[in-house]
Amino acid sequence: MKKYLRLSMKPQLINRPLAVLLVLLSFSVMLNSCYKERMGIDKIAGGTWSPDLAAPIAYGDLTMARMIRDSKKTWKEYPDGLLSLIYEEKGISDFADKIITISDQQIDTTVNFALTPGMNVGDSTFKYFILNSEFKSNNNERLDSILIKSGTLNLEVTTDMNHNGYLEVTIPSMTRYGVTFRQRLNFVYSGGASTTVNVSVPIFDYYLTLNNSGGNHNILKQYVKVSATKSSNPDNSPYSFSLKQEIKDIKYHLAMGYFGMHTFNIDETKVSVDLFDNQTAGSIYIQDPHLYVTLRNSYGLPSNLTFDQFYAERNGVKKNITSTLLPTLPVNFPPFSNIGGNDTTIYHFHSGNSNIVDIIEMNPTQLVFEGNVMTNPTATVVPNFVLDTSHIQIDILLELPLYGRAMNFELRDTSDINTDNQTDIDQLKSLQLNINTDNGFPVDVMLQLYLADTNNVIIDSIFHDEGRILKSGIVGPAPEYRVTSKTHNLIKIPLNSDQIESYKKARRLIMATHAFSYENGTKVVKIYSDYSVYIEVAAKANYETDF
Amino acid sequence: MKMTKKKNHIEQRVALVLFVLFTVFTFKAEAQYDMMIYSLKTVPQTTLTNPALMPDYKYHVGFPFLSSQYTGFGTSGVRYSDIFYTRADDSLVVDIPGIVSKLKEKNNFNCREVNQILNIGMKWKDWYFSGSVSEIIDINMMYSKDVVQLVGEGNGSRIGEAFDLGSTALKAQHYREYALGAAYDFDDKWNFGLRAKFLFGKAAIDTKDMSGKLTTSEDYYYITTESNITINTSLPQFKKDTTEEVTLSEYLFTGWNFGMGFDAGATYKMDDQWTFSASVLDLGWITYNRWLKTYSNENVVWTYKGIDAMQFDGLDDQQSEDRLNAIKDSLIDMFQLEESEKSFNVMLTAKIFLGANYKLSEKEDLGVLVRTEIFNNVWRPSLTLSYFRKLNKNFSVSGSYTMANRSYANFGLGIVVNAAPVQIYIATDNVIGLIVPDQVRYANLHFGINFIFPEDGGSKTMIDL
Repeated sequence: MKKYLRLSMKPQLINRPLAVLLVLLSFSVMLNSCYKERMGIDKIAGGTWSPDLAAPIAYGDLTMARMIRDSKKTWKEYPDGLLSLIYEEKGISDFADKIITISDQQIDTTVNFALTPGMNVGDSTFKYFILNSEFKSNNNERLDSILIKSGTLNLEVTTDMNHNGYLEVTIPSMTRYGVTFRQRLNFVYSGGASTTVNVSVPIFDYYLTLNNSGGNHNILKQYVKVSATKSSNPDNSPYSFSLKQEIKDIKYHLAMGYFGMHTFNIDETKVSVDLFDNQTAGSIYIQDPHLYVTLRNSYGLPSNLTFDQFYAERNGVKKNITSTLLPTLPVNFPPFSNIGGNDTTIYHFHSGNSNIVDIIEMNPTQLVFEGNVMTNPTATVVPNFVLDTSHIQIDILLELPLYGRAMNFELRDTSDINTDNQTDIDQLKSLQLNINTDNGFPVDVMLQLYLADTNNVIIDSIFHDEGRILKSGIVGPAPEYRVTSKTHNLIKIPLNSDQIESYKKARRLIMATHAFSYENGTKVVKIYSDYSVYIEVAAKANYETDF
Repeated sequence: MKMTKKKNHIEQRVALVLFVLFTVFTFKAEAQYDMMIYSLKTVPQTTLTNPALMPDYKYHVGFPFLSSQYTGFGTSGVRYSDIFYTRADDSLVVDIPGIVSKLKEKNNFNCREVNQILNIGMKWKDWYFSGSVSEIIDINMMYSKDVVQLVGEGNGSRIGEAFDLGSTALKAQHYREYALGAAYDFDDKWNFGLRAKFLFGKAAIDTKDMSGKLTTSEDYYYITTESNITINTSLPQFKKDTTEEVTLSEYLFTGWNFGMGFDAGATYKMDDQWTFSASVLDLGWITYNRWLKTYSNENVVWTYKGIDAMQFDGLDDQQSEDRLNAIKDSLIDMFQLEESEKSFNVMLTAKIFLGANYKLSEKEDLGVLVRTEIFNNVWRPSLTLSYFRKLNKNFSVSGSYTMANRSYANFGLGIVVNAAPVQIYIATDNVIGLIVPDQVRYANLHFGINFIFPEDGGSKTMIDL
């Protein structure tokens, strides 16, 4: 039995390992397929990543010096660093060639001329005539001299002389580059009762001097030379020479004399004061504002400026600027030694001679002025000169030293919300902004952000409390009123899911800031160029994204 | 009567020792590796756990490429099933909060793949000599809960506290091992064994230093990192001076990343019932010389305070975008890692085995095995209780219970079919792990085929020697 068993078992034993191996292999294959099913590899559908991420976003030391550098406004810095905002606009009068003009001149005269008896054919003879004529003016101006910029002198001669000859006009007081004006008109008799000859002469760059001596005014002296050459025609002397002179379209570079009274306008000009543009409430009290009216005059004659309008305006409410200096401001003028230059007259309006403090207290958005200038207002005859480019320029400069108080000064600004990155916002579940500040400015600033639709209807707001983002630095004593130490402030701005949903719906963001100077606006402060505020913005967000 | 009393006393001591071990390992049982094979006494590969064990064969030859195939993984952190939850539509979704909640402060993950290419052994007088060639992939990773929490939940979840990144370490190696071993039957009680290993590294990533912290401050949310990092790598992508990719043959058969390793062990047969064993494995290193890249920094403290907004002042859109991109690049470099190329040593992951066997009868015995693995200066113990029974001359089975990787429901099974000259064995420390690998923290499988040639045609167990 034992033997039988051994014999019978042997083949089984040899095959058993193979059988086990096969079982193992089958088991392995089965396991593999089961594993794939079990592990659900094909069912893995990613997941949701919803971390709380916190990080500092940005920081910056916002210095006043940098703000000035990047500002489009004009600033003035005093030696001690005190800053002023400057608002300036220029008005300009018409140029002189529009105000003081030289009229066209018509000078007609007739002279008689006779041949010398006994002249042979081919002999010549001539005769000079002196012609004094008045140079007419539009406004009884006395013209001493004119440097002609452009113009034309038209000459026409008509004669009944039956011989050849010429007429030559010489104006000794009209020269160009040192050469006296002289124009000859030749005429050749070709039969008929009369002969006419004309010529048109450009007279640019001639310097014309008129005679104003001996009680005469604007006298132009000319020499007219008539010359004839005897022909075989009979001598029908005396002959008549009709000379017509026309000086047209005279423009000048320079004119001297006395030009009398002229009045011309300075058009309405506005000085925009954008400091108060977006102000919706509260006020800024500037302690010592200044308004400068600077007149730069290149007319060589006395004149006065009179304001027709001079006021400040805010939201349609106007307030006139009054001053002991007004209503008429005499304008200095350059002397003859400074032809081409100008003279400057500055009028300074301040709290002592005007209502400028009250004007600024209304926080105007613009100053408006309009006026007229009168030349030779006293009619006293004094030597005048004008250039064709002569004008009066008016600079109105408002200087607002940053020295004063702010009481609940509210600014509002509206901006569109960019919806390009809506996907990122969709993934935002909550957000907290932390704003740390070290404020070296003497102002408290409260911020509110409103979420609004396209019609500016407010949907939600961000801050539920006052939203104080800046606390005023500590201000030292007078007269410097300088911040002696910065004040730290931390504001946490939590945005819950409702606010984020509101943000998604909103299309406009209205930012409203309220500012108070030191101690709720009860103390005056000064803003210096070395002031700064250090700001750090950090954010913690719950962000959810699928992967 | 005297014998019975003595026996009772010994059993009480054994029970006490087992109680203490159980208590200790309930709190800290983190490693895993092929515990069951230790109890399969008729398998020559048992010597892998203790070179002093001596197969009862005249000689043996492993089936080429199939003599010993081991694959296993372990994790003290989350199980595969912990990673996902099932949605209503039956799809699996990664459950990040669930993952974080299930992690301990320190966690590990390891994975080991051993493919024995050759294995031979022969007995000569009181010696048993053996040799083997194996391809080994060994991955050990430690990570802190903080790291996962940081990635999964973000730094905002713990403002004002530090995320400790210091418990993070990775040692991953692929190497070929040429081993020569000798076991010596010193006397009736003592056996000694030694195995020398000649190692040829193929690729490695080793975090020599990996300490760091990340702190997010209150209110300002400053992010401060403190780091001391040295990451050594030897990877094909770092091959220099050529644009050609590394071929498989170049990867496997060239290079000179040489190392040495040693296993040493002893067994002590106290009496007919009790046998004790101890071994130390993988004492050694590999020096890597090819395809090198080391990323390192030294005590770098870096604080991110945000972007200086003033630097954008005056820039146009394009310039601003360029500047922003430059800032992003600099953020990536927050750890200020420097790259270098220098050879480095990677220590093998040393293991200590301490075992005791109590012979219940000629066919069965009980065993207890404590295995400790040392990685990143952390001792990671595991404990196995085993029962071996020889069902007949050709068929043996073994059952085990293992505590490892904070997992306490690991029941192992080993089967040996011993039909000389063919021997087939299969073993696992966790049968459940083979069936539901997604539900376990620990699973492995070890099987192989040997040709065995017993001296007397019998099959004594090695412990019997």
